[in-house]
Amino acid sequence: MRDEALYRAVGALETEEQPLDELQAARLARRAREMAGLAQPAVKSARRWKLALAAAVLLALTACAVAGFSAGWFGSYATDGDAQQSAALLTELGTVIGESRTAGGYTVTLLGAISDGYDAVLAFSALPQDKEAAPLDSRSVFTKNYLVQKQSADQLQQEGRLDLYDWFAAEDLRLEGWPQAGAKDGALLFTARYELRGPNGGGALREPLGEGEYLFSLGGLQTAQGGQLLAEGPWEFAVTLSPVQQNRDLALGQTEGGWEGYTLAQLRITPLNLSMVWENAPADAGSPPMPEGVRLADGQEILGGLSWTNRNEEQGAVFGSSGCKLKKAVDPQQVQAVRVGGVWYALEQSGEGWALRETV
Amino acid sequence: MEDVKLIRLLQERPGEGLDALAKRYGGLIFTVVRRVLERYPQDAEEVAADVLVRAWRSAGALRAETLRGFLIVTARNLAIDRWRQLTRRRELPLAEDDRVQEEAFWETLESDEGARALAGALLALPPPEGEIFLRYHLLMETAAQIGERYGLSEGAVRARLRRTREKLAAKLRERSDLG
Repeated sequence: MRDEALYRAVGALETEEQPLDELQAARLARRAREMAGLAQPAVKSARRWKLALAAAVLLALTACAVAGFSAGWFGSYATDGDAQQSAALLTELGTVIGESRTAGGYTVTLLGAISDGYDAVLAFSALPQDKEAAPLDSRSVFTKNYLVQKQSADQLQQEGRLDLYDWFAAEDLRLEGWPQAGAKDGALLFTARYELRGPNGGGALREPLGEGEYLFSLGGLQTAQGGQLLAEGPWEFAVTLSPVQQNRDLALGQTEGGWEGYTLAQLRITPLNLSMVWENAPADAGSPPMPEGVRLADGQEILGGLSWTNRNEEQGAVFGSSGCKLKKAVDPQQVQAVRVGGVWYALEQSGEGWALRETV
Repeated sequence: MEDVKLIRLLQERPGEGLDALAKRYGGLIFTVVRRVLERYPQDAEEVAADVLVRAWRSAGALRAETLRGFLIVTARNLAIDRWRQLTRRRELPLAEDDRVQEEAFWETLESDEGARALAGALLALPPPEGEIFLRYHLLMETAAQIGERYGLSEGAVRARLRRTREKLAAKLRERSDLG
């Protein structure tokens, strides 16, 4: 081997290494096997465990009398109405947590989380713990909630303040998913969606944040907005958010139709977001194409809510990226079409890349 | 697992070999890759996996004494290629002014077939000049990290890198003059 002397020389040098734990090493090896086209080690038992766990969680939820939920523990994020399938799908995409904290007579259980490195959706339940605690109903609210990276949480503890615009901090300003009335003992299920802030990608798509340690905090449980305080809390959870591996990046070679000179270069489909890179538009081009939603293999159409655009201009060329937050969690592998600028495009493999073909 | 056994495993039972390689060298590979792709964690993971695959494909030519170095050099090269794809620029991500010039020089060194033999020339330099050069260009350590290891200031590290580059450039010119 020609570079043998070089390999020996550099191989002899020690350097500070970031250790990999067993899970990380296994994940790396799994990816390498996929790329090499080699069989994976038996994962059926792991998948059976996950499905069994999903079923157990669902059973536990049912036993806790939250059977009033028709869409599983992620409520409004479940794409189909079947609770068991929702639980299984979201268990595949997310992380089951199942930790509880009790304060002021109420127990909050953090059920699970889904993160795609851009957003995180957490599902949690609230339940009166003892007979003295007043029952909850669909008007009950947590008036305080946030999700921040651990280092920000440490800052909060030390300095008593939180830098809301710290680029590594995740801040929530919305609580999505209405609390739904449970059955007998009045447990409520919430979902909360947080945007995980990271470095701005500029024209390119912002890269998803990797695995990180976060603090999830709730407080101020009230009978209703502006109502009586039931318990101050806080209910706090240390959470490890691991972005899903199912994010799908598609390099686009050819697009039927167009948008006044824009070329679509890349699509990124995650369980919670749809985004694209576009380029080559002349400086006087109109509005850039906006991704608006996805269509799944079973025909379900999931549209996006909040959308965004980054636009850049360099030497007369315009390029940038756009995206939208999907209103429901999707399995990216099930996406067969995307809607851009009001038009549906089927995804078709073309050579080594993908093409978008206008469809109905 | 010893590298000799690891290489044999890669050849005879590739899947298990990749598992063992990830376990033994995954941390090192990730370290080098992340030094280039710090802002692109998903790409870093893909590149790290690609390094393992390249090692599998080259297993027949690898030896225990070259495996670690092969992984470092491959990790570095693939990470830089990916960074260039992602950013479509040729500068490197590390915030050091002369890094661009240094990298351009290193690529000249690598691309000149005769210059590959100059790895020997690097080793012949008085220590720690050769090591400093290899740490900077192949292990992708920063001047600050290198300075800390050898008890030098950042400025001193950069000065040594410049001198090494000048010496190697002189040798390149010598070789081309000799035809």
